[in-house]
Amino acid sequence: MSTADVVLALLSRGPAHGYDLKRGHDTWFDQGRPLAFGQVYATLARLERDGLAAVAHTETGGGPERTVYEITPAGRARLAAWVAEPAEPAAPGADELIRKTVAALRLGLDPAGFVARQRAAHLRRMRVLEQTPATDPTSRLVVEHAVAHLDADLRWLEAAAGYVAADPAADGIPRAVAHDRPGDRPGDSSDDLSHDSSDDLSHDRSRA
Amino acid sequence: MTPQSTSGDLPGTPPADHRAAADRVPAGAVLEARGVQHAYRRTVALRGVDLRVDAGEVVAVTGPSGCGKSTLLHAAAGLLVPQAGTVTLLGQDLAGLGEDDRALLRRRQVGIVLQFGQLVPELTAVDNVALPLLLDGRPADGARRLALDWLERCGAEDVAATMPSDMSGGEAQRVAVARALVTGPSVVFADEPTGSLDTLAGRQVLGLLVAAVRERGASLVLVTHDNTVAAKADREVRLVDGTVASEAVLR
Repeated sequence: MSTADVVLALLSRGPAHGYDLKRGHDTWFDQGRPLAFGQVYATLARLERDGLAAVAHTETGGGPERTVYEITPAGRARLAAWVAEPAEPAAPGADELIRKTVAALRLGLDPAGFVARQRAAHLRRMRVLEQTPATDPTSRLVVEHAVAHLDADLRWLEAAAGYVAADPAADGIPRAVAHDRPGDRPGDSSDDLSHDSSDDLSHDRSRA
Repeated sequence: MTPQSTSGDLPGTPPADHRAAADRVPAGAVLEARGVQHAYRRTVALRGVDLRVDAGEVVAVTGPSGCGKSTLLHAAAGLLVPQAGTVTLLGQDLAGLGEDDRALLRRRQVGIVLQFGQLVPELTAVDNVALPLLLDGRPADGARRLALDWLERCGAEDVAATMPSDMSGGEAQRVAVARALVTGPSVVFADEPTGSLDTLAGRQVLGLLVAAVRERGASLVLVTHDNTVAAKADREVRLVDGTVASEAVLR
């Protein structure tokens, strides 16, 4: 998510000044990090430079001057294009939970204890999220995303533990590729290394 | 400080009382199940399960389907007598009670919510909710007034005069929650209370059940396979293949 896209989305609701936009952002993403004022103004300046937003007018009330911005037709087109493009699904494995689980289960490092501890941590987090006050269902959109992810993690964790329990012997790594077992292959180790890897590759290919 | 002086600091608990207390429910426990075993004709459901629930505690019993969690709930609520082990519910050893006394205990002090249409099909919502009070000999108009009150608290006042067959799943489950709470139970057992509902309806029914139980300081045992339901609890007891696989305090 880029802040500029969200600021454009908020501006599409009507002319607004920086504080309105910050408040709008923090309402939509109420569990996330609040948008810093400095970032709002930097973003508005960039949007203005790129012709996606423009200054509508300047408010001079009793207090300091406030610049009110509005979205331009180019800004609306950019917003529509952003929403029309599906977000990139998360890449598999790019997650500490996944790395830890694979290691614990593959190596048989107290897998039951590992699953129980991770489960408790996830449920505790879910419990906290479930307790955040909901004025109406839409106010929980971002929380619901977090809850759904935790739930998916837990279901995956259970399935993963089940798969490994059904095949407990394997860490899944083909031995000859992973490392030489002592005594398997006599000979000079440094010299053999290059031969070994090419041999293993061709061996694997022929097997596949 | 010696161990002797530590125990001597505790006032008013002579040794004789200690021994007697150990035979009863430990202080604060509304449910104490020990070594519960049960097998059906072809499958073993429970292989010696302990479950303790304290007063005011919300406990989720979770696990994959077939892990024995529903059997445990039925045994704990006195709906089933397990083949081995003891269940002490609200200070009463369930095995020592006859079926009539068990039914009386359930009706007066226990609320039960099951997954599917357990409403009496021939009765309107308000009569379903009033039923446990009427069975207990309460005057009809007072029972119906209290039933209406609980239907309102559960957001089901619109279906008060509706028959179960004309209710949506969410409405029927709200009525079932009202019926479980109308007697002011000390402990409520719920077996997959949201299982037949869509996400939003399930969330609402569960939210009102948990809120009503917490408000009263009652205890709740939630049997569920749904992690988001378990996340409402103070503690999770996870069953796998008829034994407790793990326990976690979530509070």
